[in-house]
Amino acid sequence: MTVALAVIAVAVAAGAVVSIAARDLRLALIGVAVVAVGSALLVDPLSSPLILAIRIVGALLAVALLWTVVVATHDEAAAGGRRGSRGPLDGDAGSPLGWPAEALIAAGAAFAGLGIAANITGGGFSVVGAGPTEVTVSLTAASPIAAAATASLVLGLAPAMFGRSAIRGAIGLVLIVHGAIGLRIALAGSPADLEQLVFAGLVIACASIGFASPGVEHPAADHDARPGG
Amino acid sequence: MIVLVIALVAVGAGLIVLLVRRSSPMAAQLIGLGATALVAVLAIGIDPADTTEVAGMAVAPSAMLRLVATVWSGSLLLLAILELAIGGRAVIAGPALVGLGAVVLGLGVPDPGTAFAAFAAGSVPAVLFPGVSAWVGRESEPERLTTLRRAAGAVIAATVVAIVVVAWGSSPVGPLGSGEPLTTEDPDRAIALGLALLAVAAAVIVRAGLIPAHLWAARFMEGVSSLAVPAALSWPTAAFALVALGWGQVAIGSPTATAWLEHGLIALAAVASIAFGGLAAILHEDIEHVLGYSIVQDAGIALLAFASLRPESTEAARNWLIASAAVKTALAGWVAATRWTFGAHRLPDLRGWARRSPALAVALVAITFAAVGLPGMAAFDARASLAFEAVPGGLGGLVLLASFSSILYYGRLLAVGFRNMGGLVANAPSPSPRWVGSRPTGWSSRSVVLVVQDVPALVDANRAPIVATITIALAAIGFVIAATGVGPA
Repeated sequence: MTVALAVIAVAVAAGAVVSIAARDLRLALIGVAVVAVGSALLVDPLSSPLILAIRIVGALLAVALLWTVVVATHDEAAAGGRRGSRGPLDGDAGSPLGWPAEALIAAGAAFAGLGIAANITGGGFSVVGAGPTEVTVSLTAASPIAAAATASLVLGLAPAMFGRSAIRGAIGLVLIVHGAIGLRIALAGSPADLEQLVFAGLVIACASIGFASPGVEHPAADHDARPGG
Repeated sequence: MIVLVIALVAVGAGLIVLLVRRSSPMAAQLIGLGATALVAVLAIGIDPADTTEVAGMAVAPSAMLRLVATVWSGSLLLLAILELAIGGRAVIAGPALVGLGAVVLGLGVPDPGTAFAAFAAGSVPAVLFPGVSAWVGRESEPERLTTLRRAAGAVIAATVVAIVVVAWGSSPVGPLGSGEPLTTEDPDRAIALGLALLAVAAAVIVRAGLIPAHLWAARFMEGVSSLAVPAALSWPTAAFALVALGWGQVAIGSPTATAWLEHGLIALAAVASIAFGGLAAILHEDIEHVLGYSIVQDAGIALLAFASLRPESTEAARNWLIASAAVKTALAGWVAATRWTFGAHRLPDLRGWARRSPALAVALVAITFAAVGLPGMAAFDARASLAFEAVPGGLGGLVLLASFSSILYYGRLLAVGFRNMGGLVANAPSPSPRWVGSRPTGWSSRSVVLVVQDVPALVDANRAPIVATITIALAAIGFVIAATGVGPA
């Protein structure tokens, strides 16, 4: 089970890197879909088929909401005769750091997640600074879940806070929420079915931010403090 | 079971309203009004002993949940009628219903993480859709949408922090999952508990738009109808703070009462919000800002509860948060009614408003008494308790004094209303009831038909008194809740 979780965790982290670093927003959304589906599977024990299906459908619905905006914007750009464009909204070309740097950040965050899980499993504060042997022994199902969760959460922070387009911001928020849900599972165990249903609603709500306010970029004077504000 | 029904009806109807709002605004208005009325009736029937297992989790209502559901749904019904009366476009009912359903569900479940997630899922539409509606036709002001994204981002950020902290509390190293008694004797544990307290308080600060995280809240008020503010800011924030306080008291508890640094930081943020929120409400000239900063000030008073976490302060915060949400809902109604009646929202343009519309003046006087309070009223006592539990001694008195700055901004609103009437106010529609159409002199089937036929014209001719009456009803609800509080938990 842990091996399967580890494979899924790697896929989630890779999906998060793609969703942040891809220039083409359609590719970025495929990355988000991988994160969404993978996150629904990162539970030990696995949820009931019905709940699992609801979480996956909810997560894909969130991606579909963003996809409609991206496709509509792409069509508008094509109708407007934007020649030589590489993809929808490529004025906002994803992470300025590039995918290798983002992958490195994800790896660092994942190791931090492993540390958190090892610390929790090993009994908390008394094992801070434990040797490699003890840490190896304490690898459990929570470890890959925490690793994927922290990678997703950390990668989502920059676009959520500084993303120039609403879609990039929404992608960041979706990653953060998936990361928080993963951390919640890694720390406190399998959630109840009702909690998973609410999580599905939360992910859709995050995507609705990008859906309801599409295509608007931060104005240049956005960081000012208006008098009277 | 009834809690689940309310949540499903509210969320379902809210989503339907959001879907049909553009294609059929009238249908959206009717569905919104009908669903809100249904939820209000169902909320009265909530039985605190009626526990139901839903998808692996017990949904247990309480007297507090019943009060929140009843007051909010009743107030929302009045706000929706008010929106209809002032010619609004069915903006508030849909998202507010989604938020109401989420809050009812969240307050009913025992797991705080689930509650926080539910609040956020319900709050995002309540923040987003009224803002986007206000932006339509103002595409030249993209900063409005940026503000909305920040607002929604703040809701999500606060939720994420709260979910992770609650999960830590239930983990094998947390105070609830470890099975060990709460103690601050272990220095590692003391640090962890202190950080958890700070994280939860920070989540409340961000969610409520308190100082220093107030910019999104202030800008949000500028852009949307004031009728949308209670569903976006007042009620979900109150619910968020209530659950956070409940968790804090159980998981962290009073053993950290010696953690002076954490408590001092929280008290500092609370006092800053009380003082500067009150000051901003006094200095600003538009009534939407007065509403916004008064909400910030009230939330600052509630934050004081996190600086002590004693049972007394939690109890007081419960009374304060619900009373404050009810009173600010009434103030939001008054702001919308005043702006519609006089076509102005800046105080220099509103000179003499109270003389022109005594009914709106009655509403604001009731709101003022509810907000400032009188000794013996639940909200009044709760504020004093919160101030002195968090900051004992003379400094607590100063904090309490700062919280009474609300007298000044409410007094200013009233004082402006009794000055000589300005042009906009003098030309406003008459607030007196008028009879239009035919006047049957005797009773017959024909006279009944005549009267019924004249009802639309009668309503149209009496919009101003209808709007003022609704505002008085909202103020009365706020006053009653401020006077009585939640009652024993």
